[in-house]
Amino acid sequence: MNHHTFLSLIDPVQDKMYRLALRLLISKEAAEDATQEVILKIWNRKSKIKDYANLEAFMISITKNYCLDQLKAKKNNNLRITHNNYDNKELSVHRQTELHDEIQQIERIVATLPEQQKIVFQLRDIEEYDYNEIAEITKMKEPAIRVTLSRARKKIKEELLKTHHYGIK
Amino acid sequence: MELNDLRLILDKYENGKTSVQEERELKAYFNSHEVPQEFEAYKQIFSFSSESKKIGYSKEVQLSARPNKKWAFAGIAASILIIMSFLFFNDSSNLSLKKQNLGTIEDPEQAYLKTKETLKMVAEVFSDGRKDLEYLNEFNKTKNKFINE
Repeated sequence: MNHHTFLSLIDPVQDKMYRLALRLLISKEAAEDATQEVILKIWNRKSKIKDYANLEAFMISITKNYCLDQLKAKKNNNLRITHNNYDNKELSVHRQTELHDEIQQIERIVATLPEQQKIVFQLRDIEEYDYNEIAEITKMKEPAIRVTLSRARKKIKEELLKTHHYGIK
Repeated sequence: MELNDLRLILDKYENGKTSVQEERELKAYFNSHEVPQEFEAYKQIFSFSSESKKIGYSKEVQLSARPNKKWAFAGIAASILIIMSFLFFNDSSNLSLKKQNLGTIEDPEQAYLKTKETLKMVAEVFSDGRKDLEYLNEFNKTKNKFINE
């Protein structure tokens, strides 16, 4: 397999890999590095690529594992990721104004979710994978995925309601 | 979409029971319609999902970048070595030529005298040779006797 065919295989997936890395690692630089590293890893294992029935799921799965390893390494070094620590008060000032702020806000809420919930939410609600694919990537069973996803969705909604005090019955 | 239907399907969504297709419809609906305030939180979530998908990996993918660089450096190092060695050997050959004394005379007068001496010596050798050939004239003398008379 030469560079071109490999790049054409990677091309449709690399954005998804980057977004998952960004979701887990939060910092842009860390996510870019992780994406690059993972692509290199897959490139070095290119002889085995044909063995995978669902290459995309395999790539995303490697990305997920790599990012979780990175997080573990950081925790062991007591280097917590401290990016995107937005000031709450400042956000509430422009609260209702722009889409951008709202997105930042959900970003912050999602960042507080447990890693499994982050991954499942990212894969389902943003990348729109079906449950079989998510099961392949996360090695979880479908019912467990549904439960995790449901918790993530509920949590995000509750947090949003808390900050906005919307009058929902 | 009826509000009651919306409520039902959102309930399904929250419990992780919607299909990908239904979720896409929800996204499309919330991104293109004004919704009552009770659904405002969902609107935010769905616009977040759609917006998040627009983020792309902007960096160029580099494959096997590191080994390539290694060899490039090796190449540069090798070519520098080759160039250096050429310079070095050229220098040394020049030096050895300079070191050899070829007996070049710098002073013009002395050079003139030396040349003159050398040419004189050559001339003497030549004239010595001619003395040895003197007897050949005897042939001419004898020949003339017969032909002229």
